[in-house]
Amino acid sequence: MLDIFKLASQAKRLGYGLSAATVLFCCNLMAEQKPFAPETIQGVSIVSAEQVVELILSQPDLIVIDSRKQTVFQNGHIEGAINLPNTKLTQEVFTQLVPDKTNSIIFYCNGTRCLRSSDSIYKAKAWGYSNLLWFRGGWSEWMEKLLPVIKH
Amino acid sequence: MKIDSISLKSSTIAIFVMIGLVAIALSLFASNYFKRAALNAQMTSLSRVIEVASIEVFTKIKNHTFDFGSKLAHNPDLLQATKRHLKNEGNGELSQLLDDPFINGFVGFSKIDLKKLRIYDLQLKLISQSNMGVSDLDDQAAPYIRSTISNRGKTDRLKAVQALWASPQGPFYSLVVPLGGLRPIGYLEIIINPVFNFSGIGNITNTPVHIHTMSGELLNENSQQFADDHLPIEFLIRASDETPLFKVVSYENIAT
Repeated sequence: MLDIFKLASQAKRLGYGLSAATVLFCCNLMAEQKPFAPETIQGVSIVSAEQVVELILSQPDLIVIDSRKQTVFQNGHIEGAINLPNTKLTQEVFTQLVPDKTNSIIFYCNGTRCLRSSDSIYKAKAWGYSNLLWFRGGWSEWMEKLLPVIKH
Repeated sequence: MKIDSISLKSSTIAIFVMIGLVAIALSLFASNYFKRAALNAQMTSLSRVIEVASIEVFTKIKNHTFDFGSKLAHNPDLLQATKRHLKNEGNGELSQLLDDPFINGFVGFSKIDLKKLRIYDLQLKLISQSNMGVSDLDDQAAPYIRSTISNRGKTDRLKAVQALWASPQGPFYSLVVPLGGLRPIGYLEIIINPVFNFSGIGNITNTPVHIHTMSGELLNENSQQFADDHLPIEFLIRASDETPLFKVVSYENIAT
């Protein structure tokens, strides 16, 4: 009888141990899966914050798309940027916004750990837009360099 | 005295007494030595904590000031008034607009101690400043700010410049942002009192904090005095040009 209790107690301990190990394994897996934006996108030029500024100042027709959520956009964004989150980006909306498929368009989101702008670029590329630029460093690079910010 | 005349008993007692005296002397020496070593280790570690805390405070100052500066630098009224002032059409309205945050407050009012707002043209010549706030400041931005901006290229000039600097009125922190964003018409300087924020280091270290000038004058008022059971740990804050600016002294209670 005593042995059964002992075995049951050991099995319980083993169960706790296994559960803890599973939780730790899942946490580790989730941490490892936190994505980075791709290093490059074929046919798309990556630009720095300084290049973004130069392009904005030199090309009046340039369109800057902020792919972040609206609430984040309102907390601060690049001057002249249009807020169009990747989740709301459809071909219809985009064609209305940029009818000329050769127009220069810069996409950005939060930074290198944000996939929103790369997602938008893949969509725009698929719809035939040819002059796409990617500010991969995004908002974190812009803020780190203390460049001018529009706040609402 | 011959050695034969010393009894075994007295020599044993003498040996024990000597051992006892050596033990007492050693324990006194060791206790002092270890106490000093423990205090030194405590001072070193707390000094590092203050260093980390001061970096944290500096980052917060930058963020609050940059937030405020970004809003003000795009204020349409301020931009229009600056344009008019640059065309010599202004009628004192620019300084009135710069006084407004002092009178009506702003978002983050409680997080920084605003001391002055100043507007420069693109050549960094002072064109207007708030009437409110600290007076008798030099008519130019701090040398570090001037040299940083003038050594920058066209695009880099759009980046905000921050500096800790000394003046006869005390230490100041300045953030200079381009007025008008990517197509600036001048520069806006926000001058704040950094002592207001650095006093908050005590909340991070959980110790009382005094802030002194390099000449020893106490900068944060209402600071209580401490008895000998508080170990003062100093940390030097340097200005942006690396000259010593002020000292943060944290008092660690060593009585408990």
